[in-house]
Amino acid sequence: MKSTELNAKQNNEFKSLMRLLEAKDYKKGLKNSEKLLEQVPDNQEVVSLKAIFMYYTEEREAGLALAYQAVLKNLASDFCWHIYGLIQKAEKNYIQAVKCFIQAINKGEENLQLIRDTANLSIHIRDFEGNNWLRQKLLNSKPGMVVNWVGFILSQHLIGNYAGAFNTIKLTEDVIKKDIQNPIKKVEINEFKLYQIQLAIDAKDFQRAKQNLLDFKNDITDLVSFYELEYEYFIKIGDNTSAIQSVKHLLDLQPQNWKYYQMLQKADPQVDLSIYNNTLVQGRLLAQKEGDSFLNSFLQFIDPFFQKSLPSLFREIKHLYTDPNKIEIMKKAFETYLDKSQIEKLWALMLLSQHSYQIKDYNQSLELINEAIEHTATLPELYLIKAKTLKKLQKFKEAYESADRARQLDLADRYLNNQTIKYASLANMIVVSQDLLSLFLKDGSDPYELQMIWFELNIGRTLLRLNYLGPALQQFNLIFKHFQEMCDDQLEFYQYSIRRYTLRSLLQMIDAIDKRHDAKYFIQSAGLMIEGLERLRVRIQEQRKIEQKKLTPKEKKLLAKQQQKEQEEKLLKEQFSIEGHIFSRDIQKRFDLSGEQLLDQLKTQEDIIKMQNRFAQVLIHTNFNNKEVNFQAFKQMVGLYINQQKPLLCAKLLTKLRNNETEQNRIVNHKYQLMLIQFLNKYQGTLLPYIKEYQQDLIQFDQQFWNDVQIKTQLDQIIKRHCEAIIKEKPFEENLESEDLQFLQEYPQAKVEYMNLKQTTHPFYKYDPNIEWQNHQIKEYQEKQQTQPL
Amino acid sequence: MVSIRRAEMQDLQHMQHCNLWCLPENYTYKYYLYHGMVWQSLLYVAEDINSGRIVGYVLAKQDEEDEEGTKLEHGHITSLSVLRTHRKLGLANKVMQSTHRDMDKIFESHYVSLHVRVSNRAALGLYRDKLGYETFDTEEKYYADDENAYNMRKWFRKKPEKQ
Repeated sequence: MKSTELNAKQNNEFKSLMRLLEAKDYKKGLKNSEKLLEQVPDNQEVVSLKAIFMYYTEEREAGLALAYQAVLKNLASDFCWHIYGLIQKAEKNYIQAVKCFIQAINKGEENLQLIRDTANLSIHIRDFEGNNWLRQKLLNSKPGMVVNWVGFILSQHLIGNYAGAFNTIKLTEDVIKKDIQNPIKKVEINEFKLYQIQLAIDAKDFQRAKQNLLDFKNDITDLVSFYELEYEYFIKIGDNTSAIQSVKHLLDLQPQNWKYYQMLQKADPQVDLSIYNNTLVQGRLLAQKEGDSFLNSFLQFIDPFFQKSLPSLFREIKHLYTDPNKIEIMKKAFETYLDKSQIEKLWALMLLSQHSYQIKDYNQSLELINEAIEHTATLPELYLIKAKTLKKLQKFKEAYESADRARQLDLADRYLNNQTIKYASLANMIVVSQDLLSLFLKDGSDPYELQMIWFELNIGRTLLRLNYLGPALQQFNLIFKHFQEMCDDQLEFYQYSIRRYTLRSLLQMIDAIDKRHDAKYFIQSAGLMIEGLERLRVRIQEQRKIEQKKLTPKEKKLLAKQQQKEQEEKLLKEQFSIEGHIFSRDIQKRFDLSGEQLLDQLKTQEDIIKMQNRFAQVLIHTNFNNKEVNFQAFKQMVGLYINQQKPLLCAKLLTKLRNNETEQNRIVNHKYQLMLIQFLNKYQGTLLPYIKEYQQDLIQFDQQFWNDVQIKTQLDQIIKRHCEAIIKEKPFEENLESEDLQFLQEYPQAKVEYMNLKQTTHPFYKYDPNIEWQNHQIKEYQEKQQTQPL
Repeated sequence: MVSIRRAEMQDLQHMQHCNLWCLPENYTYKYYLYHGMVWQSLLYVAEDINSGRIVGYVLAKQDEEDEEGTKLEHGHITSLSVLRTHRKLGLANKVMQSTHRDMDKIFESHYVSLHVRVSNRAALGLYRDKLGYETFDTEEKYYADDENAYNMRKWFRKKPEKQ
C-alpha cells in the first residue's frame, strides 16, 4: 500500500516521534503525530503513536480505542501490536499485554528488551510455557550472557522439565567460567549451588541430590539452608539417622527455632527433648506433664518471670489452657505469689485476671485487674487487660477510656497508640481514631499509601456498623488494592533475581504471592465487603419498589420509618467526619474516601451482584487456619449463592462451613448450613449429572452428603429446642423429645454432640448473659418464635 | 512461646504489619519484597507459635560500598522491632545475632552498620553493651522529627587503618 508508506523526511519525523515517546513528552508528541497524520492518514503505525500519546495526555479511553483500531487495520504490523501492548501493560492488563507483545515478536520485532519484558510478564501471569519459549529466544540471540542461561534454567524448572534444567546448568557452568570479565561472586556461587540441590530434590533425582550435597558442601556458606536441604533429602530417602545429624547441626545454629525440634521429633519419634534447656522447649514440654509433676515444673517455669518482672508471661503459657486438668493447678500456682513481695503480688493479680479472662469469667477478671491497678497505677499493660475485658462485657466506651489511660502512660509507644485506636473505633469514635493515628504519621503521609491494612479494616468495620455504606466499602476496596499492589510489586524482581541467582527466593515469592489471599485481613475484609454490598443492594431494591408501586397505608408507614432512619443517618454523618478530616483534600480525593467514585460503579443491583461475585470467587478458594475468621466471611456468601441459584457453589460453600465449625459458631453455622441444604434439596435429581461436569467439586463433595442432609435437619431441630431450654431455664435434656434421644444415640456424629450436652460445664450448653453469641442466638430465636411458632 | 527463624516470603506482609505497630518509620510492601528477594538469608523473624503471629523481625541488607565511597562489603540493619507484648525476652538480641552471623559468614561483611535515635536508651543498651556496636558518627536531624541519629558499627573483620 504505497499511500501509507513514509518518505525519507516523514521517516525522520517518525523517528523524532519515537524520541518524544521515550522522553515522555506526550503533549508535543500528540501535536506532531497529528501533523504527520495529515500527510499519511492511513499509516496505522503513526496512528498507533498518536494513540499512545493520547493515552498519556488524559484521553485514556480514546487512546486505548484508537490503538485497538490501528491493530485491526494493520494486523501484520509488529509495531502496532507493540504499542497496543504497551498501553495494555500501563492498564495493568497483563494478560492482554503479553498476547500483544507475543504477536509483535512473532511478526518480527527483534527488540531484546521487549522479549525480556515479555518473558518477565509471562511469569507474572504464570504462563510458564510462554516464558520458556521467550527465554529460549533470548538465549539464542545472546548466548554469551550468563543471565540468559540462568533465566532459561528457571523457565525449564517452572514447566517441570528437570532433565532439561540439569543439562542447561552444566552448559551454564562453562559459560560462567569463560566469562572472565564478570567473575561470579562467592555469594552467587553459594546461591546457585543451593538452588541446584533444591532442584534435584524437587525433581526426586536423589542420586543427583546426594552427589550435589557432597560436591557443593565447601562452596556453600549458608549453612542454615544447606542443612535444611540435607535434612529434607535424608527424610525423603528414609535415612532418619542421618536426618537427625542434619537437624542437630541446625539446632547448633538456631537453638530457638521451634520448627527444628519438630523436625527432630519427626526423624526420631523417641527423642527426649527435655535435655534442651531453654524456655521454648521447657514451656512446650509443660503440656505433657500432669498433677504434682506439672505443678512443680510450672512453678519452676514461671518463677524467673516473676523475678525479672516480665509482663509477657501469660502468652507463654496460654497454650496450657486447652487441658482442663491444668487450669486449677495454674491458678493455685499464681496464688502462691499473692503473699510474697509487693511486686510479685502485682504480677499475681495481673495473671489471675488474665486467667479469669481465659476461662471466660469476665466479671472476675475485671475485679482482679482493678485490684492490680489500685496496687500500681502506672503500668500500661494493666489498662490494656482491663480494656480487653471491658470489650467482652460490651462496654466499649469504657474499654476505650482504659486503653487511652495506657497510651497516656507512654506517649511515645506506637503499640499503645494503635491499641487505643482499635478500641476507639470499636466505640464508633472515628474522629478520635484518625486523630490518634495522625500522631504517628509524618506530615503529608497517610495510612493508604503506607498500606495500613489493620487501620482500614477497623475504620471500615465501624463505618459499616454505622451504615455509611460508601465510605465503608471504599475502605475495604482499598485493602484489596493493597493486595493487588503486592502482586504487581513482583514485576520488578523476576529479572533482578535471575541476575543475582536468588532463584530459590524467586520460587518462594511466586508461591507466596499466589497464596496471598490466604490471609486474615483479606478474608475478613472480603466478608465485610460482601455484607456491605448486600446492604446496598437491598437499599436500592427497596427504593425501586417504592418508586414503582402505589403505596398501601402499611407501606407508607414503612416508608416514613425509613425516611426517618435516613434522616438520623444524615445527622450522624454530620457528627462524624467520615471522609477523614485529618487528611488533605487531595488525599481524600485520591483515595476516594467518601466512596463516591465506587458508588458510581454500583448503581444497579446487577453491578452490585457482579462485584459481590468478584470477591466471593476469590474468597471461596482461600485456605486459612482460623475457623472463626473463615466462618464469619463464608457465611456472607450463603445468601448470595442461593439467590443466584448456584447449586455447585452452594455445595462447595456447605463443605467450607462444615469445615469451619467451632463451639462458638456452631448454632449460627448450622443455621446457614441448613439454608444451603434446603436449597440443595431441590436439586437432588438434576444435580447429579450436573456435578459430573465438575469433577473437582465432586471430590470435595462428601459421599455421605444426602444422608447428612437428614441428620443436619434433625440436629437443627434439636438445637432449636436447646435455645428453648435456655429461655425456659430448664436443663437441656428435659426439653428433649424421645425421638431426639433416639436420634442422638443412633448417629455417631450426633453422639459427640450428645456427650457434650451431658457435661453441664460445657460453655456451649450453659446460658451466660455475657456470651455475646448466645444472646444473639436467643434474640434470633425469639424473633422467629413470634412469626412462626415451633 | 516464641520461635526464632529465618523469614519466608509469606512472612513479609506480617513483618510489615509488625513494623506498623512498633515504629514511626514505615515502608511499603515492595521494600520488604526487595530485601527478601536479594538478601533473604539476612531476614529473621520472631514468631509466637501459640498464635502464629510475627512479633518481631530484623530487616537487613548488604552494601558493597562504604559511606566514604571505598569498596568495603558490609551489612546494614534497615529496620528492627519487637511488639510491646514481647519485650524484655531477648528477642531483638536473638534475631540480630542470627543476621550478624549470616552477614559475616555468607556475605563476608567487614562490618554491620545501623542508625539509632540518640534518645533510644533501650536500643543503645542492646547495640552497645550486648551486641558490641561502636558509635561511628552522629547524623544531625536524621529522623523526620529532626532527632539526631547515631551511626553505629560493629566490626566482624579487622578495622582498616585510617589513612
